[in-house]
Amino acid sequence: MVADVHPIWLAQSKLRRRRYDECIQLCTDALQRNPVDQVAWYLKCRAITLKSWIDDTEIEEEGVADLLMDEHNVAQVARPGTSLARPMTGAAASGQSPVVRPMTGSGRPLTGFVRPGTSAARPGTGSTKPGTALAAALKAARPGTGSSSSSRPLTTSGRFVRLGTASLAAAGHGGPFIAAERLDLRKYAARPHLARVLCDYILYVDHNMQKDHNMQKVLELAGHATAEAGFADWWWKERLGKAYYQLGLLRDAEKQLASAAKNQDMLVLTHQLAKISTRLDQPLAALSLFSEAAGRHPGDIGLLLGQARLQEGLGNRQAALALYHQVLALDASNVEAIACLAADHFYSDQPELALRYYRRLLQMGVVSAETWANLGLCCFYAGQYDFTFSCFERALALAGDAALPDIWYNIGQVAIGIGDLSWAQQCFRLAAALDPGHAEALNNLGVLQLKRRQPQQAASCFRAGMKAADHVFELHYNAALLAHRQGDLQEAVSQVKEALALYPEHTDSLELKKLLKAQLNAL
Amino acid sequence: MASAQLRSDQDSSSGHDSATKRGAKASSGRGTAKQLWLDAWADPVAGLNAFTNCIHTCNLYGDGDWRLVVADADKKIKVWKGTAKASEHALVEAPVAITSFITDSTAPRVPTLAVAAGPHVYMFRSLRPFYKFTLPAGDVSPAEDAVWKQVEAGKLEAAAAAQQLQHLQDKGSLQLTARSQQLLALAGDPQAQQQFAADSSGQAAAGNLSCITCMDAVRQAKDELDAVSRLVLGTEDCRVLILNAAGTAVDKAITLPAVPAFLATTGELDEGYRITVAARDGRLYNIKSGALSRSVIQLDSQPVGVVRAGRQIVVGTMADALHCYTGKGAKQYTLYMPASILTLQLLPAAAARQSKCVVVALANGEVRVYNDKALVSLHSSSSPVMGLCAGRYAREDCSLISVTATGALDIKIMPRTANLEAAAVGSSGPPPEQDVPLDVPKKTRLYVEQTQRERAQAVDMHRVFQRDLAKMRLATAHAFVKVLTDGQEIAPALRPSRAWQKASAADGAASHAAAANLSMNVSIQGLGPRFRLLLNLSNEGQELATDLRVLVQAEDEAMYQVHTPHFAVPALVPLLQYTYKVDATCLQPALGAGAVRVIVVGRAQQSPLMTALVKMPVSELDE
Repeated sequence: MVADVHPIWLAQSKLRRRRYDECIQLCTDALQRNPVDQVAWYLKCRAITLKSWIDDTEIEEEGVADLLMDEHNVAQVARPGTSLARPMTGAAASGQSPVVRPMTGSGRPLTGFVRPGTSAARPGTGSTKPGTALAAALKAARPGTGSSSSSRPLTTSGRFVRLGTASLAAAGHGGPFIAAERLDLRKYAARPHLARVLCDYILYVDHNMQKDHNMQKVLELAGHATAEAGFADWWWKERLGKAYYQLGLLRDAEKQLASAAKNQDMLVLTHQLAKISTRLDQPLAALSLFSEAAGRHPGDIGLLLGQARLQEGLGNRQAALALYHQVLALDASNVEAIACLAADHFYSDQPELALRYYRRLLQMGVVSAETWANLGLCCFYAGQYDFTFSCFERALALAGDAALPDIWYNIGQVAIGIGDLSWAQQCFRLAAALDPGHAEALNNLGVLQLKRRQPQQAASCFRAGMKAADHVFELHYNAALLAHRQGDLQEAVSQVKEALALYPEHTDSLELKKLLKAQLNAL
Repeated sequence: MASAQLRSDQDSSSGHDSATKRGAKASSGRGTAKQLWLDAWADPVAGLNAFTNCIHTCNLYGDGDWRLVVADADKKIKVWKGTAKASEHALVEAPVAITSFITDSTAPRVPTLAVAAGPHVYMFRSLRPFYKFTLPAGDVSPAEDAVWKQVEAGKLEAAAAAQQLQHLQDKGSLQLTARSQQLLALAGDPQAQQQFAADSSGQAAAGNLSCITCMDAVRQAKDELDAVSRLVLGTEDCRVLILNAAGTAVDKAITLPAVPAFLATTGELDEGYRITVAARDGRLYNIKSGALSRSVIQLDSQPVGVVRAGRQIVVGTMADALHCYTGKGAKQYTLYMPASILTLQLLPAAAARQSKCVVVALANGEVRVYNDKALVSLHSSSSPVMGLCAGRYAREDCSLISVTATGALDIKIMPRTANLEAAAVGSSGPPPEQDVPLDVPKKTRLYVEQTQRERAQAVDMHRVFQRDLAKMRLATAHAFVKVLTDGQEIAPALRPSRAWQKASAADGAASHAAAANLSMNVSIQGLGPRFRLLLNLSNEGQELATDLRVLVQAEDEAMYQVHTPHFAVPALVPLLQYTYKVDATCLQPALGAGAVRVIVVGRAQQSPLMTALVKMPVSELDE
């Protein structure tokens, strides 16, 4: 039956139905018969491109290469609230204190939704302590702790990192489909349709080979084409911007994209411009881009989410919440908004509302170990004790290596909640054994050891925790308290200073510091 | 989706009681401490380096135009007249204190400027050198004298002499001379000692010269601005000296138990006077009519300045506190400052003869004026104020001269209408923050419904909860035992070992936390096929761990070749980190990644102390 259909028509149909492999096969056959068949070439090119297409409007993880080659260091000490590296703290932020809401490794409150760049320190934007960013980037890729299973840090630029990436091997047997360097780009630029697919092909498919070289090819092609189009085609300018961005020339990319936005108001341009602003650590510029675009495109969820993320990153909790509510009003099944609202309600002492949001996630089919663990926690704190442990059981059953330590840690919290300290200790020990970098678990383990009058072990737990991560202020405070009790005032002072560097408003640390000062001054 | 992490518990039962605080808590936010001063003149690049003791204003030429005289640490006297620096005069030594006194009542009453430096007081009249007073030399103890005589005769090396002097000092019975102390300070450098012994050979004749630590003036008979006054000196040999009217000889000497650091005087010599001395042992001593009073005030911390405000003694200490005592030593009140006190000074108010106002400079740049307990003025300076002088300047009755840490000079004047009364500032009630309600979220309807459910089905819920709890505990125990016994760890593990000295078998799961424990952290270097395992071993216990062996085995022998499959660790000293390198080669990179097991065993031990399963990364293909 299939034989009856014209192969080109069939390939077109396959392409529409997203059966790319079959489409490529058909086109390859057609091209073998007639190597200059432009239609087949067009379809194959398109199919291969779509196969490895990624949505590059989202901000992505920055690799070590980006960090080392970064020449865009803007302000090292930005004013609070103007930089993602220095979110507002304390009362100004109207946010929750780190005592209530834990921090991520980058020193920001834990959000409800894991996005690229939320968990690790942001290398490009200059973390609070100089030099830590590189270490954090290298650390994130340690075996067992990071998501990558190789001992190799993310060396190449993080852009275009695709998990389970489509292999190029399928593209053609024996040599790549298109050798960009051999093409006469000026000739292609004159044919707008072919030029576009070729451009996308080089951008999205060929980049694995010799990225910079190919980006230059894109620049060349797009340069010719945009001249051909009389400098009035937004599409070519956008591709120029993309290519500049890939090469790390952020300012050039910004220029091209802004020019494209003048030709045609497109959402994708707003996203990309905002992404560049975020990369340059100018979140306020990105915010104004988003809000202007939101005025022109009311009801667009992407723009609202973009704003909400930035507000959250800046520590404007209330603003972010209002935006998430707007998103939910427009799209009642937006996972990110639901998850963020749930997390916020949980940390603002309303677990029963968080419970409702997480249940909604579950109903929508977001079934993961994390969702179940969160449900368990919410049940426990909302007093629905009969559901607590069944949720945790499911979480344990679903959990992979990455989630397991956190689940044991949370079970440990429940154990502390019901006062079973030896069980809690087992849970924390499990968490620490499964993830040696689980500083929070090590901290709690240390406190429990202290309660059992084992100060030596407690001290070793705190030390191990501090070695593992440097964002947990409790570790430093507890270590200071322990050192103070043991009479080691010097150590206590240095630890309490560390704790205050991480969380300057921590009342207990301030009290302890005052007490230490009084003791050191006393005669 | 991130899992919600809770990290709420800290050791809240922190055993420290906050220091008992009596007295009022000084809060800058309370009341209306408005700015009192008018800016008169400032020189941000004056380049001064002087503390409170070295700043003084006086009617230098008797012309009624009061000059500012600063004895700078760079051995210069700097004089300001109005808004300009008038002159500079060199000094021989670095100054300690500066003041002025009036020798006789014949008109015109030109004050004599006194600059204390080392053992001398240099006196100037109309800024011309007039007289140099030198502290009377004390006796040198015979033993010390003998040592120095031997040195001068060339019979004794300087280093040996230093040893003998050290021996004398260690006996504790006698105070060594400045010369001996200088020699001892050069300990460890025999050449410098020898050089010093040669250079200082002339000093022996002078005897035991002390040094001046502080200086002030006290009036003779009348409490007037230009009344006849005399110098009071505090010296390094624990004495307070009152000089005669001309300042040429010691009139009275009072010996204290400690070295005086600050002096504050009040009253007149003829009518009855008080000298309060803050000493280096953290105590306040009172001298009353020529005799040391028996009431001694023990401070909580070292003093940073003392003034006598009328009958009261106000002392600032390093514990950021301003204490007020009566002359008899009874404590009146304590004010706690928000930052360290750098210096304090009495503010002589023209209207009230018995001024009670004290100016306090803090390390955060604030300068505060307290009238009794009330904060009557507060202003901030960009840099902390190190030296303060309050008094007449030019034709102003009350001006405040401050020298900051950056060397800037700032002169402010008090308007004549200024009201320093505590009542003018406003009452001290509870802070306004007290009335702001806490932001506690409201309980939702959902919460109410859920509590109703809880109430209605309490028994069922409890039963289910208990059953699930038991199940979960069992699951935890299973997982825990698995990690403990099998060493089935997913990542390179850092965990304390099980019992080093094995606790009783009945101890069960808790036995892993016995007296001594080890921890290990494994990291992997390299992209493959050749890897390097870095084993970080540390002994987290308190006792030395000896005679350990470390075995490194590949889970699949065909997969990895471990180059040093076992090695001995002779000893692990507590709290030091030991790093061992083990190379491993991946034999079949194409087959993916395997695991390597690291086992630590002690001698004469049945089971391993610690095992870790290291998941290896995927290897690159060998090229």
